Amino acid sequence: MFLMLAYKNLWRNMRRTLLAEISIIFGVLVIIGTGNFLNGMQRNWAMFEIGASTGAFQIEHRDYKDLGKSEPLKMTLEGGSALVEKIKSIPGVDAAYGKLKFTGMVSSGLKSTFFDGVGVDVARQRQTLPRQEDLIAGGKPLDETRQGGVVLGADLADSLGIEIGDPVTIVVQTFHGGLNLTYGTLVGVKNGRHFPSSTYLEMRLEDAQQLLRVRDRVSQVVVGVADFDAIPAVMRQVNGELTREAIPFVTRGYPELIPIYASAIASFKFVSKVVGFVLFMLVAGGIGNMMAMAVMERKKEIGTMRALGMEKTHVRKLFLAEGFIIGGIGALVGFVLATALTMVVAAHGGFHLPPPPGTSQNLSIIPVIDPLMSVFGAAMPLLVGVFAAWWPASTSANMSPVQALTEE
Amino acid sequence: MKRVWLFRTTAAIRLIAVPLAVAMTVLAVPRESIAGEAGPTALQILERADDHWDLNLKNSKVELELLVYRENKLRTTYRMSLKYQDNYHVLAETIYPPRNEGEKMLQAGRKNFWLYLPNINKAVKISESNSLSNSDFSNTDLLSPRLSHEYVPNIAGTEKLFGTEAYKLELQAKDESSPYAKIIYWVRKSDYSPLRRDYYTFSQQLLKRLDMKSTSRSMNGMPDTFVMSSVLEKDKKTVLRYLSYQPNVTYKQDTFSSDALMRR
Repeated sequence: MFLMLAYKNLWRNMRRTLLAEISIIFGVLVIIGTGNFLNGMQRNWAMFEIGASTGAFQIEHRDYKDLGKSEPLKMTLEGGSALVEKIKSIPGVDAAYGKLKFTGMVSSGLKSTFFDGVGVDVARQRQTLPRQEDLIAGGKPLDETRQGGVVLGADLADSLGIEIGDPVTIVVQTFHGGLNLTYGTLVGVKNGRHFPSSTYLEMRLEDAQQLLRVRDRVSQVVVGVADFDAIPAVMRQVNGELTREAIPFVTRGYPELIPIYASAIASFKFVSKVVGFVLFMLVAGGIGNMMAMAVMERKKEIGTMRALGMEKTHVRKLFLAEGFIIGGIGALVGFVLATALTMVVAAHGGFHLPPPPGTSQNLSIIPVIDPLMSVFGAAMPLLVGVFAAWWPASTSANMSPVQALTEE
Repeated sequence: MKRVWLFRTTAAIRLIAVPLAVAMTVLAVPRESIAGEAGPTALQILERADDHWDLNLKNSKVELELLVYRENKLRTTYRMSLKYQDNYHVLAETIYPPRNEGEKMLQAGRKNFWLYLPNINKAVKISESNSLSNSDFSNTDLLSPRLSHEYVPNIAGTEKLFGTEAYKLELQAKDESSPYAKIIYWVRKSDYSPLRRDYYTFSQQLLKRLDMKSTSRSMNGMPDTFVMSSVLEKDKKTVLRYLSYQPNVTYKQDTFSSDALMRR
């Protein structure tokens, strides 16, 4: 009965109620819409990096993070081929490949400089990272059948003054400490956002293993998973299987592998929370103001209700119900609008942005419904409506009937 | 009769003994020697060549200059002071230029190299293959000149080099931890003075060439000028010259310890 009465009271001043509803709907739309946009951006960014460079997760020697810089070759996993096959056989794993990281000197014949190199299983890399060729800025990617091909970071190639087809000399320290040298040909240049273009060198895994005189060792195994949402479960399964094999390994998920990903997402979420809080305050202020106005205008009515025997708590409940309903209508309409807008934009391919630095493909941000933000966005006006109406409701309840009826 | 018998016996002895002695001599010649000649073995040649450099440096103090050339132009000059106890205990300190002054490099045992940087007051372990002061010399090239401990020599013939007859030795690394897989070493025949080394990698590619000469009599015949050129860059070389040499220096026991590195 209170709810029916409260609902009818709201529309006694339609203009004011509508204005309040519009502000609530707008607030809900912004909160839920921002959450969906950020969720989509987070997913798309992660999926781009997963497809282009990091894979869903990687497996490496457990001491690689601490000692890999000083002793990169010592912190490698033995039996790389068998390890990759083992991981590929685990359900949920779509593809996997091994890579070997190393350092050395690269020379054009006229200039030489240091490099951070990686040997990759080219064919399997293509399966695991379908977007990695997006990073090629000139020439071609490595050919798995052609020995001696080298891909350099674009800045490194520039600093050496070499072009596609030019020879390069590579000198490294082998696994056992001796020096080794090989000649290669520049086949392509790459740009990336998470490897320094001024020191990057890539060659076939077999060429790198031969140069470094290591048999079948890898620094990391990069794993691709078909279902983005299944990544955590697949990681757990791989962990379980490899633990049984007594391999000294550790797994690193894509949030850890994508530079600044975790911190950037945390920053965006913080900003969205601040925006949510600001909107919370604005909506609360709007509802509170509207309810206060209603109490002032309906003093005689309140005095009449009290004089007729209505309890204080019932008067309070009536105004709280009005606040609840106004918030609830705004929440429902805002939620429906935000969700519908998200679905429409997603169906049309999302927002198209220019290529990120270092890539050549446009980036699409397809908003994805964020259940948590949707619940928060819908619940917020309900709570705010009650919260904002509390003071006017208490004021109205505590009003003396005589004073209310006799006041001009 | 007696004289005839004696004569016949003596002749018989000569007939048997001489060829026998020759045969024994031939059989006794080690395989590393040059075929057909009774000469030093490869190891002996290598040891004597090493002695020219390493033995003279033992318990000595030298000051040297490193001139780094790029595109045939002198780019950087370093001066270093070297305290040399033996092949595995050497302390080098940079004394010029001022920005590198105080940097020290220590070899405190076989394959135990340390670098001390005064600007961060830190000593870090480094590899013997690391470049010395961004030159074409690696740490081991300068601090561990003795090759006989790490390489197995074979004589590959004789050649004329720098107008002088030289043994050509082929040195193979004893194991994969040696910095170079193979070194071709030319040593002067007359006095076993080292002349040239060609350093090869495990892929059998030539990496560097070191030419050595002795220009001063005050260095006891030790080479005092070294020119190292690299295949990595054309017109790139480093010249190392010993400027002063002080033999018979005694060092305190802890001079060549990694703890002593941090002491100024």
